Order: sequence, then structure tokens, then C-alpha cells
Amino acid sequence: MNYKETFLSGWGGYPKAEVKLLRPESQVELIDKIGDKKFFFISRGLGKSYGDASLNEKNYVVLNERLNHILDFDEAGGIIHAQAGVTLSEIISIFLPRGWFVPVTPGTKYVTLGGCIACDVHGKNHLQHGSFSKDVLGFNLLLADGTVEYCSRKKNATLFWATVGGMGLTGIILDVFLKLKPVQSGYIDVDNEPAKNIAHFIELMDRSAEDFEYTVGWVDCLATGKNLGRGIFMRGNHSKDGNFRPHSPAPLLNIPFDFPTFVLNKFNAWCFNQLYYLKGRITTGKMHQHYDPFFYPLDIVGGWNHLYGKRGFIQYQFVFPRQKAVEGIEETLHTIARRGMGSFLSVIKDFGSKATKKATLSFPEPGITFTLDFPNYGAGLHRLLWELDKIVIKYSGKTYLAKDCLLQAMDFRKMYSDFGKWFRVKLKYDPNFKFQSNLSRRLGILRPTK
Amino acid sequence: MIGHEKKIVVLGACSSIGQAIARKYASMDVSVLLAGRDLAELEKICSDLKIRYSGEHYFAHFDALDFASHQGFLENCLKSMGRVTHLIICSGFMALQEKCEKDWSLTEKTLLTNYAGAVSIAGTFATYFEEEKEGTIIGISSVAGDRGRQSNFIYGSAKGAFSLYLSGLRNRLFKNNVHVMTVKPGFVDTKMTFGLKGLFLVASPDKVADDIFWASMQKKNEIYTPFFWRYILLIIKLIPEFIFKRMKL
Repeated sequence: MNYKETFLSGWGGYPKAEVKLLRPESQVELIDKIGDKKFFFISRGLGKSYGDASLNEKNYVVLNERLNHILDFDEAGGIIHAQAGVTLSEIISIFLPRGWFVPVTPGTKYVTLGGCIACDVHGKNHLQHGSFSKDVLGFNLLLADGTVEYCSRKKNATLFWATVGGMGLTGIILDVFLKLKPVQSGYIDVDNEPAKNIAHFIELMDRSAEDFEYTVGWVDCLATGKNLGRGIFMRGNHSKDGNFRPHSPAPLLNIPFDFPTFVLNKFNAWCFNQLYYLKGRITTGKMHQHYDPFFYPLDIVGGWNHLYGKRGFIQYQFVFPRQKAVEGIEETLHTIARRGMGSFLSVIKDFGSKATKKATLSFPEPGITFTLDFPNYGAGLHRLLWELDKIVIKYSGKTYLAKDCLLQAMDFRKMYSDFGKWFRVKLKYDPNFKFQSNLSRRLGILRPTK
Repeated sequence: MIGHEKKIVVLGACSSIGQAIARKYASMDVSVLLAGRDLAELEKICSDLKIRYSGEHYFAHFDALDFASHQGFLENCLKSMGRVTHLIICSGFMALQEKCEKDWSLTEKTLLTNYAGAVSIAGTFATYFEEEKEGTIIGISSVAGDRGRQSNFIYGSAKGAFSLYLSGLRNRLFKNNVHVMTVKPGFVDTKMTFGLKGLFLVASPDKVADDIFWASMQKKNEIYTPFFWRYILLIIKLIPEFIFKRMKL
């Protein structure tokens, strides 16, 4: 298999790495190549993780885009068996007209099954349902020694749980068994309400927990004083109207190249937030909305990450345990405001208490999760985010590795206190650390020196 | 939809162009038989087509270099599908020119796969289509076959010979209502070209498949895909030989 030397980044455009891209067109090709001892490997889906999880400086990055065949579908149980490169977008397009939807979806449908498992993605329904792995029945994993093992809750269970949220570091997922969810419509019955501040958000989330499957809040982080943490709280349930129209195959608009950096700056961010809040106030109340704009508002513009320009942007997502969440989030917002670095888009969700304890590197924890988008202002922002890491640790929280690009090894160990358990599985199945990435090296996940 | 009882056989169906063609036709409600050497992979591709597009799809073993098996392959196709309306030849092989020059087995494989194997199977199906007084043969050649360039003339000459064969076949079969279309892709984003330096205007396999589908509906004789390669090659072909032999294309 030839490789292509190129520069690659995650969705945030920062950092970039020079990698050797491999693009196998069959599983056999990939299995044959894994014996190559010249370089290390990391698998990559559609590159929607924000930081360096799928980067591997001067080493192999395996693209899964051509390992995208659907192998079987069990109509009775709604179980799909597909190669790891199949995307949620394809699954929805093909199976929604037959009455099925993906049970858990992140904020974009342009992600692969493999990527969803590796990051154990979550959606707007974590409170009621849990994360992506909940409906993963099993998968075949290509290991460092070239063998393929089937992993499920009953077979190779420790390897299953180490791979869920394991950021591709246990092996390469080849194909997946996923249970889809029967639905009666592709539309969502939505109910929006303005929120005055963080405490109000949490109150609204509590009130909506039982009756609404999907809940999420958009937060205006640039508002100050008594408006700190104001925003729009969105909640919804699948409709029952029998309309199964799938989304259109291509985004309405495409941004193929980086915008000049001045386009998205603090002033623009402030304007955007004002307008979005206003729009939310005008459209509060009930709506009948197609799943595409409800789940994937940003997918409408292909390549929207390019709006941030060459320097890119950094997304910072953390979770705080419930009791201290309001205090913790407010301290975070105050810290950011003091440094004068505006977050463009911020989202708040309630994880509830359904987190999978068994997947040690999986992100969701019982509590409230908060996400911030920052244009990559540079060294000043990086210092701010390291400061925020300390605040997250102070409140016994953690950050999301699928978004992370700056977390340092010692802070990572404090946030992921069960790491030792995961590391033992890693040592067992990949003793020579064939599977590693820029992220794993940065987090200090290294082969022990003898 | 556009089905009208079309039944197509795609040779070299494991290749990305072959798969893209199969997907395009299947999405238009056409029944597809996928043929190649890797049965396990073909089974996956076939399952994928059946689930995405419903419809009847099949797969079978085909080896371009096993000339003696080609008649049996045709009979196999007829047994599965009842009849065949289109044969699409995507099977091909390319190795780096420098490697071919040092290793005869690579040169031999290039010439036999791209020319002799294609001639053998095309001839077999041509006879069948002639008897049916209906059919289409689509041969995937290459712009590399339009002129011998120092960087890739072993592959280029095999494809050039294939283009010549297809035009002769087109001539012979016209009176029996059988159509032959020559497809000349430029650089396509496949396993063959991945990682190579000096590529430009690289097209996706889906784009090529799209062009092929619509051109075959319009019964075109020869297409370049994407279209602009026709003009690029026109210029290249017009360069006088005494200048061309000095160039490093």
C-alpha cells in the first residue's frame, strides 16, 4: 500500500501534523499492512475530532473512508452490521425511510461508526439514554499482532470497554454491530425557552428531564453581569407524523478554503451571540422541525470550520459533577471574561446519571457538561485553557479528549483517575505501542521504559 | 426508475472505479453482477449494494489473465442474471514505469491485464451481444493511451492498444445494434494513484462513474472524464515528435 505524505489537522485546524496517510480499500489490505514495523499507526474516520486525536507526526494515519460497506441489516431487530467507515449520515439516509434512526448522535452526522465508538460520542439525549456505546452490540477489532478479535460485553469484555472511548489506542475497529432505534417520523416536536443564567438552565433541564428525550442549551458567554450565562434552552421528542424524509445529500453551502482571520473575531462573535439570542427569543415556543436542522444545524454549511481561518479554533468541553456545576461553570465563565477571550458558541447539557463507568476513558460522567468554542487566539488562549484545566480538576471534573488539543499529562491523570486500569489493557494487547497518536504521546500514554 | 431491465456486469469490481460504477447503476435501479478475483471482498460490496439500493445484485469470480475461463464466466453470468445488457471492463493493472523496466513480470502483467485479458473477455461478450442483437460494451481505457510518454508508456501502450481494439470492435458491432464506448479517465483518486507525486486535476471515482453512466445513456462513442482531458490531450497530441521526444512529460 502506498502512503501519501501530507499535512493534516483535526476539525479545529489546530494543531497540524505531517503524517503518512494510508487509505486501504479492503480489510485484507489493512490487515496485511499492520505488520509494518517501520512506523506507528492511528486510525482516522472523517476527522471530526477537534484536536490531535487522529494525528500521528511522521507516522501512519489510516483513513477508513473506503472501508465503508454495509454488510447486513436485520429488519426484525434493527441491527446493522457495517464496516467502521460507514457514516451516520449514510445510515440515516438509508434507514430513516424504513423507520429507523441512530439512537445517539453527536452534533454532526458526518462521522464514522469507528470514530463514534473511539470517542464514545454523546448527543442531546444522554440524560435519558446514555452514550453511543449503549447500542453497540459488538465490533471486530484489528490488534497490534495482526489478529482480529470480536469484542462485546460478553466476549473480550475488558478490550470492548477499553476501546469504547479509547481514542483508537487499542487497535483499529473493522466492523460494528449497532442497534438502531425505531422511530415514527424524521421530525422533532421542539419546544424552546429562553434561559436567564446558568442556574436557570439547570432548573429548566431538571423540569424537562422526564418528558423530553432531547435537551440542550445554547449559552451566550459574552453576556456579562446579570446576563452571564443567558441563552436558549431547546428540548424535543421524535414526532409521530409518519414523515420519513431524509436529509439532502450535500450541504447547502460549502466553504472549501480558510477565511481571512479577521472574519471571526470578538466583535463579530458578540454580534452573532446577540442575534442568536434574539432569534431564540422570537422563536421560543413549540415548533415542528426536521431532524437535520435540529441535530445538525452546523452541517448546513460544509467546511464551516474554515470560517475561523488559518489559525483555526479550539473547542473546550468539560463535565462537572452535579452538586458543584453552577459554581464551577460560573467560575469558568468569569475566568474567561477576565482574560477577554470571547467564546463564540457555547453549549450546556445535562448528562444525567447514565454514564458508563466501565469505559474508563469515556468522557460522560454524571453531571453537567459545558462546551466552549474559541478562535485560536494563540499563546494567551493556551495559557487560559491550562488555567481552566486546573479549575476543572478543582471541581472534580474532566475534559473531553475528542475535543482536546492542549491537556498536559499530569492534569490528564488527575482528571481520568481510573487511567491505570485502562493502561493495563493497553499493555496487554499492544505491548509495543503500535497504536499511538499525537494525543496519546501528549497525554503521556507511553510505553514504560524497562 | 431508469432500470428498463438493464443488467450489467462490472469487471474489476473491487477497484474504486468499478465500485463507483456499480453504485451508480444500482442507484438507478439496474441489476449488477460484480466480478473480480477477491470473492470475500466482492461479497461485501454486493451486500452493500443490496442493502443500500435493494434490487437484485450478484457477484462472481473473474480473472482477466485466465483466458480459458472467460467463456465459462459468460455462462455463469447468464445463469445468474438470465441475460446481460452491458459489460463494463474496469479491470486494470499499473505499476511504476521504472519498476516495470527492471522487472519483466510486472511488464507482462501490465500488458496482459490491460490489453490481452480485456480483448479476450470483450470478444467473448461481443459474440453473445451480436446474437442478441443488443448490448453495450464499455471499456475503461486511459488518457495515458493517447500518446507514449517516457513516464508511463508501458501502461500507456497497453491502454492505447485497448482503445484501438475498442474502436475496431465498435465498427464491427455497429451493424448488429451493439454499442461500444471507450472511456478515457485522466487522473482518478484510486489505489493506483494514491501517494503519487505530480498529479493534478484528480477526479473522484464517483465523478467518473457519473460521467460514464450518462454518456452510456447517450450512447457516446468515446469520452474523456472529466471532459477537460480531451483538450489537454489534444494539445499533447499536437506537439511535433521532434519536440516531444525531448520533453519530460
